Amino acid sequence: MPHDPEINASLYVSGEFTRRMRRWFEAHLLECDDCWREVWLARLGRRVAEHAREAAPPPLREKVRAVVHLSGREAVDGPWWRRFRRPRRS
Amino acid sequence: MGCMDLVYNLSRRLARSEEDVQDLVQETYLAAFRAWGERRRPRKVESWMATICLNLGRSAWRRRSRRPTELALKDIETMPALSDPEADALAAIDRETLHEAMWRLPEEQRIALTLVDLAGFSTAETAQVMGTPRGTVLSRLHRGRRALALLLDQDVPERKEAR
Repeated sequence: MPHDPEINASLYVSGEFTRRMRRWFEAHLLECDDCWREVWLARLGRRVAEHAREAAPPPLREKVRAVVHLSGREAVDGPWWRRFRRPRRS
Repeated sequence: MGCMDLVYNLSRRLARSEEDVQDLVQETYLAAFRAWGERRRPRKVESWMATICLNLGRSAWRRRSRRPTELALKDIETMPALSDPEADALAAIDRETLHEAMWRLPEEQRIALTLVDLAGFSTAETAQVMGTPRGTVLSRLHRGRRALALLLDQDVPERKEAR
């Protein structure tokens, strides 16, 4: 496995190593200062990033639902103005 | 994370003002709805929505040509080190400071972080959404994480200490 502290730390902290690679890397971490440092920083950075997660505000949910609903009606019935046109006389 | 939260979080990292964020979320849903009506059904809805949002966000960005000035990381205001390590320091960062710090990252790092650490995508999925090789995503992700970690301004502990 190539020694690339940046990529390895990124894979390790993202939980994307296979079990075998993870075991190898964890043993390597005990000997390598560079990888240790990068993993420590990556783990902390990930925690900080997770802290930025936000829920969409409820009014936005409602707005999007309404817009999609209206757009769906237009697709089925045509644009709103056509629905109000007088029927032609036969 | 639900689809709406995912699109919202991604939009918050693509558009600056709350108004633009809301417009981007709305446009994303409309585009997805239109595509769905044309029987373009994705295998995984979350990554499909993220791709739509990212494409719309990027084209809006290009249209307006208003890239924010990227500041050097040393310019980011750092938090004072606290006696208790990570948890206390994290609690001390208010959301707006963190949001601003993320905006100071280069766009590609910010998006990689959002997709992997906020939305829970794998790096392979993120690579697909961003249209870049996985190695590039891993590298951007790491640089973004490292930059955010510096916000807490903590010393890396000795290996022996942490064992």
